[in-house]
Amino acid sequence: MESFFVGATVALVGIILLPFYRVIRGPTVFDRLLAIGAMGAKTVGLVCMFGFLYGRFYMFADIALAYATLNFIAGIAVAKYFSRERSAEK
Amino acid sequence: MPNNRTTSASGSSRRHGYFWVEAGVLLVFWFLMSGKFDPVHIGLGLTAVGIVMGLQHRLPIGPRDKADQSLMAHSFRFPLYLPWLAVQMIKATWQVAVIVVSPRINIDPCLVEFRSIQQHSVAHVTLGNSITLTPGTLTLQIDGDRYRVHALTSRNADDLLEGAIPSHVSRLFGGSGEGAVCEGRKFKHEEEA
Amino acid sequence: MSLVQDIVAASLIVAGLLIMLVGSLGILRLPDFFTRTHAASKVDTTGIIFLLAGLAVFEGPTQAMGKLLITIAVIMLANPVAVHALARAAWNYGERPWSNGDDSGGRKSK
Repeated sequence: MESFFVGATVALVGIILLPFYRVIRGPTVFDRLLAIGAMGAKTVGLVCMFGFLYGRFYMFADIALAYATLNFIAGIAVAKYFSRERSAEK
Repeated sequence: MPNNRTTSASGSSRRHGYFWVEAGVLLVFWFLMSGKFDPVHIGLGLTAVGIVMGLQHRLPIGPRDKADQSLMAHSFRFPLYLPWLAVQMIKATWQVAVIVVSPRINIDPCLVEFRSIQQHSVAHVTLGNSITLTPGTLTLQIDGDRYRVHALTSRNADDLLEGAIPSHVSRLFGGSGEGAVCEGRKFKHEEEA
Repeated sequence: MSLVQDIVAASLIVAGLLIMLVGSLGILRLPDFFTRTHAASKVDTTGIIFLLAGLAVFEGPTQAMGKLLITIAVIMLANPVAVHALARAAWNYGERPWSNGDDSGGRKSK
């Protein structure tokens, strides 16, 4: 099971890195933000996997929960920022 | 608009009982998270709950009017909703997987606008979230009871306009399912003007 | 019992990884922002739920499993809302969806 977790974690890192292409190439700023949000959401799973690898899952579960909440708040804050940007232009 | 109810004096006294309900929920959450029951951790938990309640006791939490009470009465049905949503999510994932993995991406995106009569603003939030998680549709805007939805294929748009999902949510919150989708139309963005 | 538990956990984790792979590919391959949001909201949410459910099965009924279930609930509520907020901001900003007829390659800003 140990080697399965190592393999799964490596695969998950690969999957998380894929949308990075979208972060770099755009084309619009929203594509970049969406890709960053998707990477952040998957990182919650990565944190949990690391918890199992290190055998201290009870600690990493808290980190994963906090990370999920922070990712959500960051997404909302960015979306709010862009809504405001346009009303300032008007 | 449901969200510009003002907080009256009678409302705050009615909410008084919910102060302790909310503090209890927070304390249970603390113990679930800490898992330790020695005096130090219990003391830390009580202090933390005290600080949080002191900071946010002015936030309007708890029922304020008839609609809120009916919402509380129907909240026990919410777990029944989750299996249905899980099935929808797996269907949605399968659809997007087929589209993404096929060598030539076969989509025909279009937009849908409709009005939906729901019992409570929480029902609107649930409906918006459900539309996003069900096959091929994604909520773009909710303005009062007007929805603008992006659909991945024309068929998904038709499925949404048939109204199975909105009337399901409506019945979940104690509505009749009547008028869950009205004034619906499907269009492409070039035809918008 | 433990072997069954391991097999169920491993298959849920592998299913979650495959679904997340589809989500990542969707973000890369789909033609415009609004279609990509479909990949980011539905597919990723389902994938993470599968992955965390697999870990919860592996963990067994402990306190950490409770935390995992809370994390699953938070993600199920928060992820679609965050993507919706971004899509709404994009629409309000003037981004318009790509449709089959136009060949601007999905770049229809303004």
